[in-house]
Amino acid sequence: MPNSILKLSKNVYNLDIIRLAILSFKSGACKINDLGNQWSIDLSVMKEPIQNDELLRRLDEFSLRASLEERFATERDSIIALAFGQK
Amino acid sequence: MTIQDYATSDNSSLYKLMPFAFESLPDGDFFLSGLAGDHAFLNKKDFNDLVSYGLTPDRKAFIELESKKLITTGSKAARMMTASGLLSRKAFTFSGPRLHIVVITRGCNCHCDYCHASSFSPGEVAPQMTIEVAAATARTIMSSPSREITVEFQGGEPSLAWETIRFMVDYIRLLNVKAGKSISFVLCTNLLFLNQGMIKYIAKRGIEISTSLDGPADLHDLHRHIPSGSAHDLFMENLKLLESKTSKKASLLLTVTCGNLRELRRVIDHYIECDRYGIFIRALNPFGRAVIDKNLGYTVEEFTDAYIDALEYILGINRSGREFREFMITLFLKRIYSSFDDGFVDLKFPAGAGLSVLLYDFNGDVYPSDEARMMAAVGDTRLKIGNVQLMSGEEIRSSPIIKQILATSIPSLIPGCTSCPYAPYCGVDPIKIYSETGEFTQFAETGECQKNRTILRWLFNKIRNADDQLKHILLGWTA
Repeated sequence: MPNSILKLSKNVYNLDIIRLAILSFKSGACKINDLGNQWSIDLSVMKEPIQNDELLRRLDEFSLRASLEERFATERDSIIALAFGQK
Repeated sequence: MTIQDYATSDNSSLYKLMPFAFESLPDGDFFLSGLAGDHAFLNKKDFNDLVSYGLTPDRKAFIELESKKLITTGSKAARMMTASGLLSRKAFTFSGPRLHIVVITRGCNCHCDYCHASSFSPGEVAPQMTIEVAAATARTIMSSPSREITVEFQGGEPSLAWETIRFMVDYIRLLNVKAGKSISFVLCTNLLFLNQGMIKYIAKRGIEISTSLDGPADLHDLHRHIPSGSAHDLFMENLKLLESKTSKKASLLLTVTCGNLRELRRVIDHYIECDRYGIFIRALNPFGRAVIDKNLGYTVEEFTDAYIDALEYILGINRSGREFREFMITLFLKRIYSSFDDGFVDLKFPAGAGLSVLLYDFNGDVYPSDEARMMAAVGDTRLKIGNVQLMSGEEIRSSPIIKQILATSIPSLIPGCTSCPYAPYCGVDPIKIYSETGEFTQFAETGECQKNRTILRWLFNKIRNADDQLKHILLGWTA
């Protein structure tokens, strides 16, 4: 199974993850572990490949968001400092 | 390979990603928005290439994204322009409260089932603002650092305390001789108590009128009751009289209840018959009597379905040659196409409550918004800031309550909002969230959020697929 574990930043996606967790647990799609500042979503516990296309799409999207968020953080801070530091 | 796999391959030699939020659309394409509100639509291939640094300068998507500051080729210009756009959008956070709502009296001559102000009904003895409190309120208002001040008289029905209104208008004008601010006055009235003398004064002082019209007589009178006769008929009579004497159009506000929810097309037709150029389709406020009477409301889905149907109807009217706007969509369009503050305090990041608006109750108590006062009227006074006779304007504006509202309404700190591509055009109302959830917390998943996201998705879909005529109509609304 591809991408058996997804790690997602916890800080800004709590509600997304809670929604995802509820959706996932209800469908038995994955196991979610608390890693401190991250959630890990373990897809390997599944007996069958995920059939829920919507869930797969959202997992993929959440994962990308977390990855981008890490890259955006510094630039966002710089822009905000530039915008409001001038006042 | 998933889009995450693409994103992990970092080859930033050609361009750098600027911060953006995104969501995938039902057709597989992607919607992106930047910090300063620039937006773009990408097909899946372009999006995957974007996040894996695979776009090349000869691609149309590259050119579009660079022009919209969603990628940069390394110059500082994109960062500077994004910062400048962000500052323009948030300039209101530095200017001080601009809108000052004054509750002149809690008494009313009309009994509305959905009254969110919890007013006293006709015949009941209602508290009214004294001249001493009015004077202290005027001085507090004029102490605001904002160069533009709007004083909005509310109630109850404020015209029942006409002499107090006259006093405040004249006293504020006197104080402004020295202050030199740009001042405007708004009277929120049901028009039912207006007489020739009042109308003459309204015309003389250029006072704006904001009033309510819920549709033709059968719909308007459904929830708006006067002791005898039709509230609608009396309203129409006084509206004609007022507008003939002042030569200015009053602003009409529609409140949507379950009574007119499925009749919005008929309501729109009535507004056109009344020679209006637009309508503000407002969902019911979850305060006061509106909360007590469960028969007034509807679900978010019921509202958005009816609202979007009404919007399609309005666009059809515009396509047939008559200009007619919906004002909430107009507001969103302005936020999509402009970086400037629109002054609408109910939907902002950070929240306008306390920062852009203050409310003064009849007894001088100050609240961060109308909704906070409405909560106090039904017993929850936790959001009371203080009193104009006991605190200076500076003390009021630096209240810990206002700081708390500010801290709970910054989008990058609100789960859901921080990753929402519609956040640059949206806002949050922590007080409404408090009224819905019972908690004063950073929580984005409210009915308001669901409603705004649905509407913004609809609007961006329209923008994306607009033919020339529709583009012309939508851009025309922003003028």
